[in-house]
Amino acid sequence: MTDSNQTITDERLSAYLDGMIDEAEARALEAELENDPAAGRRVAEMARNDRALRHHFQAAARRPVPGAISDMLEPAHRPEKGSWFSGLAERLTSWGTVPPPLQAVGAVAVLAVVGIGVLAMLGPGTVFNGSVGETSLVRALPSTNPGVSRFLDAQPSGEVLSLDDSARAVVDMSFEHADGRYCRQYRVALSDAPSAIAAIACRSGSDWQEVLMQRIDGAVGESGMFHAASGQASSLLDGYIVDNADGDIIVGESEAELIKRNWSRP
Amino acid sequence: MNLAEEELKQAISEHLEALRRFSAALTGNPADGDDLAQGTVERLLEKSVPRDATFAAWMYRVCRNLWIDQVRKNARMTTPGQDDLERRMENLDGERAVMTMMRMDEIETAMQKLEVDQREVLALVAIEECSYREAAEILEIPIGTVMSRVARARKRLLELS
Repeated sequence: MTDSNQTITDERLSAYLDGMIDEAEARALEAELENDPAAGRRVAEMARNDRALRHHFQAAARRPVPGAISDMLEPAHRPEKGSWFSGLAERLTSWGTVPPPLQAVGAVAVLAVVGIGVLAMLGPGTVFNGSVGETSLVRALPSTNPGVSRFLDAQPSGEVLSLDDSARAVVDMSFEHADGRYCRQYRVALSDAPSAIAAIACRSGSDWQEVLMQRIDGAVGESGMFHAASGQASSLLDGYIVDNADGDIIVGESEAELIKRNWSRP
Repeated sequence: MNLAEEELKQAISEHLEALRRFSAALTGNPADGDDLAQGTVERLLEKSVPRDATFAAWMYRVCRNLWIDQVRKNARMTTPGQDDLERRMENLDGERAVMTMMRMDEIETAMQKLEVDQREVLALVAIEECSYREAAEILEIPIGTVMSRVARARKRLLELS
């Protein structure tokens, strides 16, 4: 289609793409496009450009939230300075570019019990009946719950896994760690609890290891997506990703291929 | 009556991904987009949002107005020099396949080459998937103007891709 065409204008094609013309007009335009292959290619190119734009800027928006933004959205009821939580949080954020030290296990072992309880619900035939607790926490344990490993092995990012209507889990993103491991950020929420768990696990050998875990305030929406109650949702995790990720997040076909290869390198 | 602070923070958090997407589309790249998103969050927290307003529309409007201020302060943003995209255009084969999609590295440059009024309407309609009426309300222009601008923006993108 060219501008010399008097009937199929770019404005009509554009409005057609946006669903801004009525049904009869849309059918009439489609009939005209049948007889004008150039215009058909043009509208197809417009549609593909739109899709490329959405894909590109959606990926940009899913990068880790900058600390300057998440800090502004911190809840008013932050833990008191000097509490065990703030000490832990400071330690987490000061890890910088090195992986979480395994010796941190000792300091957080008590907290890990809470995490294990939450994660246990992903195992077959298990029921989670505890509360998430008051803590934000980290752990670096030898391996994850087997149910979590299966979930991380196979679940594409953004697809919610529902468990008997009692809990939902979703992988937020996949990325490659600077040390060469594949890592995934995910969340688990109980339907009847005001909190959820956000965590990062990295592939180590044939298993996944959680390297960071954090309680977040939020709820499970009707769509199955998580709605964080505040911007503090995963600021610690975001900081870890910013400091340790190598390259862009892994999305779409690249992630599907990794899942197909069971997270092994080609 | 405005939203209380905690309500406001919650609303921003729920719309943060859309804000960052819109900001990146307006500025043409994720880094500048996050700067714009940060400024928008600051402004929203400072001025709050009327309780009876549609939050997303209000947020887009604040973001867009901040960006326009930046554009006016920085003429560089609207008059980029010779760049990779133009070199590619000069090398384009006239027989190129018409169904090729823009490469990812061309997208940001292409968005930056659009006129300001085309970029903002394309970001709202093609990326945020607002209706023409919603875009018209956010930009405070007639629906017919939205229609013509988004068509011109798409035409320009075809020329650039």
